[in-house]
Amino acid sequence: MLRALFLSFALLSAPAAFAQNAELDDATVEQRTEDISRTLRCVVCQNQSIADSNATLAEDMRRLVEVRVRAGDTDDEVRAYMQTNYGDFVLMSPPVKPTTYLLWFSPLLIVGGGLIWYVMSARKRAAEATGTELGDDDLSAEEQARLQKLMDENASS
Amino acid sequence: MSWKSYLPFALFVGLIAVFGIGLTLKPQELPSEFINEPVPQFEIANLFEDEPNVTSETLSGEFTLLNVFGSWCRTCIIEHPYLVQLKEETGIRIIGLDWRDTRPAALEWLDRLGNPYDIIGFDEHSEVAIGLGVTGAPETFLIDPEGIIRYKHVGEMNPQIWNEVFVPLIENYTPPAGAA
Repeated sequence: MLRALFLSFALLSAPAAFAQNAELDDATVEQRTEDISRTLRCVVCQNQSIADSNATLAEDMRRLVEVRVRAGDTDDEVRAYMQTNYGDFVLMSPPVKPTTYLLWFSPLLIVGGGLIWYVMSARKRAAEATGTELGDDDLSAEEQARLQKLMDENASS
Repeated sequence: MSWKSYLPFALFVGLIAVFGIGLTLKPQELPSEFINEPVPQFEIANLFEDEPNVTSETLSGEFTLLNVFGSWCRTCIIEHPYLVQLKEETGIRIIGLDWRDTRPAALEWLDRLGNPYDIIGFDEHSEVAIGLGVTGAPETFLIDPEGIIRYKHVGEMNPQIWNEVFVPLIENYTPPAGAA
């Protein structure tokens, strides 16, 4: 079992190792440059990837991505390079780490909070709803007497 | 009225506060990743073609200003006289990085406005600029004698920035133990 696992790992990683050494063909380089560029933010236009931006700096960043891909960097290595230069900001998808927990998990927090609020108010409504269907047992002796008196009056009139 | 009826108003005030603070931020000024880090390795052509290439090693040895500029950059024209004046008054080494420019335009620009730079690298395709995390021009880095980046100023250099930020950093510098 372990051997089979090891073998499959070896087989899976072999093409990657091979690809790094072999001459990359232009189509692959272009495709990977495009893919990496989509994950990098243009640092002068705030909300576009460098693949989408026509800013001159984005143009040069794309060129640099291509140069590094051609030189044999993996996608992650190219991103890491840009990250050391421009910080997390340059990544379109910010990394999950303590300073970004709030960013990543606030949607969960809001949905969770909403769910708790909903369950609590639903329970309250349910409690109020059952409260309106009062049985004989729910009336005090005094109320019971008053009710009896009203019914008697009704009956006699 | 219960406290709940004030809730929408409280939310409104809260949002206004958040937006108000947001307006005072400058998202285009990225903090430099290189403060207290060594200058990344690079080698680049000299603006003057017959002079040797400019490398990251060129930047260490003494306190150095690395000024990113370009003949196309409007703010650079505004700050330029101050760089000339700074060079005359303090003699600090100023190394220029001519960014995304053409040689004829840059040379004409320097001819017209004066040349305060000791050495100028020619970064036609942003290789060094991107390596330094530059987002716009002008930007001015303060590099200590060990080749460590101490500060990056985004925007024009002026007497206030020089006196309030750069001078204290230079005066309070203590060479690391073991250094000559």
